[in-house]
Amino acid sequence: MTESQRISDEAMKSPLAIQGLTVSYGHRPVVHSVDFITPPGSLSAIVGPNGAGKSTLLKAVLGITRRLTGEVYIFGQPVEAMSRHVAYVPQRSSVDWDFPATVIDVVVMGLFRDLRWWQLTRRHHRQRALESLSRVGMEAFADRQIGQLSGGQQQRVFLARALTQQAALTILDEPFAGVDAATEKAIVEVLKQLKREGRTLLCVHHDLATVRDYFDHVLLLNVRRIAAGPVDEAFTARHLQATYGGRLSPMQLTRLMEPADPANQRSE
Amino acid sequence: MDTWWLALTFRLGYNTSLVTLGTMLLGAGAGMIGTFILLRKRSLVSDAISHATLPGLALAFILVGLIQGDGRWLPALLAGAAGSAAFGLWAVQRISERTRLGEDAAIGAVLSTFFAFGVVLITVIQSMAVTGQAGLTGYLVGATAGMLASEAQLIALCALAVLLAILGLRREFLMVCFDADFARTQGVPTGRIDLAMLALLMVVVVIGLKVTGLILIVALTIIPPVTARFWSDRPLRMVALAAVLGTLAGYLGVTLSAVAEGLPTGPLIVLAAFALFFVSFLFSPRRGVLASLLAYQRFRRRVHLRQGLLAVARDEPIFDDLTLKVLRRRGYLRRDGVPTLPGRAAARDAEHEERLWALYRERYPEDALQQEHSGLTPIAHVLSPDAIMTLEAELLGDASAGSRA
Amino acid sequence: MSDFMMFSLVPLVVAVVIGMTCALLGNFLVLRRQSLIGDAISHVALPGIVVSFILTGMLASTAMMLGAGVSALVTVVMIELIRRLGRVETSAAMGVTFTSLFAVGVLLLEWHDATGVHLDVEHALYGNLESLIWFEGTGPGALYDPAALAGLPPQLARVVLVGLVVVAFVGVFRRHLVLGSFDPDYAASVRAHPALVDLLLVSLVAVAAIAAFEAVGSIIVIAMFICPAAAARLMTDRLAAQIAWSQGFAVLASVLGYVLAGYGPGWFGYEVSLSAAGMIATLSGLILLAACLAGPRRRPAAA
Repeated sequence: MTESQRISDEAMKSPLAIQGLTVSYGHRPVVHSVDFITPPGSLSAIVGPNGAGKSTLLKAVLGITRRLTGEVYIFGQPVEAMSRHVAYVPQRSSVDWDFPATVIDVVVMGLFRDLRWWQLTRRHHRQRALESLSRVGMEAFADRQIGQLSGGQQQRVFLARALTQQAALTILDEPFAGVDAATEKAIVEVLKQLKREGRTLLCVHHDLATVRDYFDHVLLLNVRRIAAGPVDEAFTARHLQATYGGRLSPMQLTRLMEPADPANQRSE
Repeated sequence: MDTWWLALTFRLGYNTSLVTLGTMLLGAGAGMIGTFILLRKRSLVSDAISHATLPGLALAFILVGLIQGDGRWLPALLAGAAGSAAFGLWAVQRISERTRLGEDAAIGAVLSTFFAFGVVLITVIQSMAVTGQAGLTGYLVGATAGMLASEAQLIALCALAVLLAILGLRREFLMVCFDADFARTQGVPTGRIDLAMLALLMVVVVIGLKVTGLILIVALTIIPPVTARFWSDRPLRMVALAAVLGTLAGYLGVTLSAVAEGLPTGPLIVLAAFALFFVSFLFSPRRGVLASLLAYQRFRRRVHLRQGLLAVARDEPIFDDLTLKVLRRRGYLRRDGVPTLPGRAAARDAEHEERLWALYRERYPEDALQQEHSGLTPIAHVLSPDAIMTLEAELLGDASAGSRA
Repeated sequence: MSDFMMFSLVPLVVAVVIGMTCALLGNFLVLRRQSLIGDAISHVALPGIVVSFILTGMLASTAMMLGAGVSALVTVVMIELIRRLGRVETSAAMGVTFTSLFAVGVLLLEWHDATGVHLDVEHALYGNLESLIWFEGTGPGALYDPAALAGLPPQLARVVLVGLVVVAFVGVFRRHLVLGSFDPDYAASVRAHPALVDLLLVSLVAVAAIAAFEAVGSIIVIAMFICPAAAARLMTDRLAAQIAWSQGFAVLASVLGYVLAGYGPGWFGYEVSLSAAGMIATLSGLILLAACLAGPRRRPAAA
């Protein structure tokens, strides 16, 4: 039986289709039986409380963490064969920023798959890295030691590294965690621009207040999939209640459900 | 065998019995203090301490040798060892606090440099006209065979003192291990308590030098606490267990080494400790390898079974080999992949169960979040019959409402 | 001069090569906060060698290397198993493993002591750099004389070979090593196989430790894995520069340590020679001390 018969047409075309994904640590499920399909060219958020398995879901998709059950397809092909088309932005706090490297060194890491071991890093490689850096407004910092950057700048460097991969699908883990307002705005702009270029983006996101402004699709996750779909359909008070339980007060919920401030309206 | 029995029952002479007792006390002390160090995630600090004793030991040997011609005088040697160990410990602390280097690099640097300097000093000793040089190498791997009664008494007394000190300070240690920041806000002098912990560790290491040797004493501070971890998650119970395990390791090791001439004590004690560890590692019902593997396999099968049954109920094709195998083994699928009658029934049940859980999660999100998320447990095990009846009724209502719509 | 050629040239070259090899690998160990894996592996070379001796009944170099290699592999696997399956913290798992294996080594050694073979714990720890004598090295001409070169101690060729293998490994896998050290998750996402490279790195640490073990003993190996690289870490913020510093420090410690041990006491009128391996390791520690006190990048960067 061929791969194409295993999955639906929608999943075939999708940059990322997850079927029945379960991940467990020991015999405790962290992610349980999750199905999710990202439409092409969408900017999706994964939302859920702490410990809901959001980062684990991403890592299982990327093959960093082992799956207990389930399949992951990239454009209808098993992810193992398609990992070249996926870029990853890990959590900023997951690395030691005291590492002896400069900003450009880190961004050039995004070219890992294009460089064979006998090749030196040439000027055109650096040029590609510099272009990514200028997209996130960091070209002036290229030769700066990474330990000297602020949290927001570090996050932009990570984004630039993923940009050099020029992947169809970019997966970001909490790109807005602990960054300043200016950086948040800059990153959102880059993400929306990527979306306009037809690329697909999937973010773990923790700030419920900005979900409506930033994203067009959402997956509400608390170990299981609670709801998924376009933000207007899935990001409802009922689903949020089911995701967060009593951790959201009724007042918070009503505020989240109000249409976004005209000033914050999506740019497109 | 007979000798071992005599040794086990303390009938092999005053000296041997004293050494056995001293080693048991040492094992208890090492296990207890080691548990706190393990909880503080600094197990290998004792490695640095023990290697750092060598230059002090050698210097004391040289000094005593110059004065009285024979360098072997235990109290001075232990004092010297403690002195350089304290210096090494201080160096580890300073390097990891004041520079960007991690504690691992600090420990490695201190242990190798201090030990190397000790080796240089030993070559100095070899060129001196001091007797008792052979005794010095005993500190590398331990030797209890020729121990004097006075030495055994000293070790036993020190071990007892350490034991009492740990008992007295256990609550403070526990607070610091559990949450140092919180302890600080409660006015606990965490810095000083940390220091006391390390000082006691140092004393254990130093008095263990003569018994197990400087490389193997590290084992006594690490293996029993790690073993205790397999049997309990409660810190104080772990401390007590580690003390018992350490005592047992010391007892078995020392008595075994009395069986034949030339059997080294240190390695036997360590191997006894390791044997206890290994048994726990495999067979502990809580965290043991066998128990975990079994639980993991069982869980994996349950997940596959449930997902397979749901696929059957929804008439979806199944591709996963393990899922197919699990379903076939239960007789839910025929060889050709067609569901059997019991298979259909089980699939219906699973689907129904799944709907009940979904409804429950929807109606009572609060309570549902507290429950197990996998939904693999039969709902009847979690909810009361009344609650299930209500859900069933609602499910029926939903279904009829759905069909009307 | 001929004295130098005969007695000092080979030990000096061996010490320098081993120092540079260990320091090169050490850079990545220090960056990965895995410095102590070198410590653990150096300790377990002893049981490996003893077991191979008991099995083969002789002190053949190849068998001993093989034995030590197997025991290093056993160590790595045991640490991983205890850590993963037992959910024990890494440093504790390391402590359990290497002390137990070392205990096995000591026990077997003492047990076999009666056979009267020269193999003891001290030798394993301190090594015997001074015994690498080049009998044919009677003058500078020996360097061009094939017959004399054939008489070089075999340890020299062995450590040089291992050094070349390590350099080749670091050269080929430089991007894998850097990526895996800095950001293992990202490395896995671009299929840089961080776990595999990790295993290769540790295996090479074992190979270097074993090759050095016979010539210089394990303690100098531990020092050379950590001290030069750690000192270099405090000198610069660039990886290439850090590696260069570590190599310089390794050479400095080896040469100076060897000279001090051999001739130092003579300057003060004592006719003894000290342990060269011990002196070299001590000096590497002193270099690290100096770097801790005055290295331009000694403090962590303020984020």
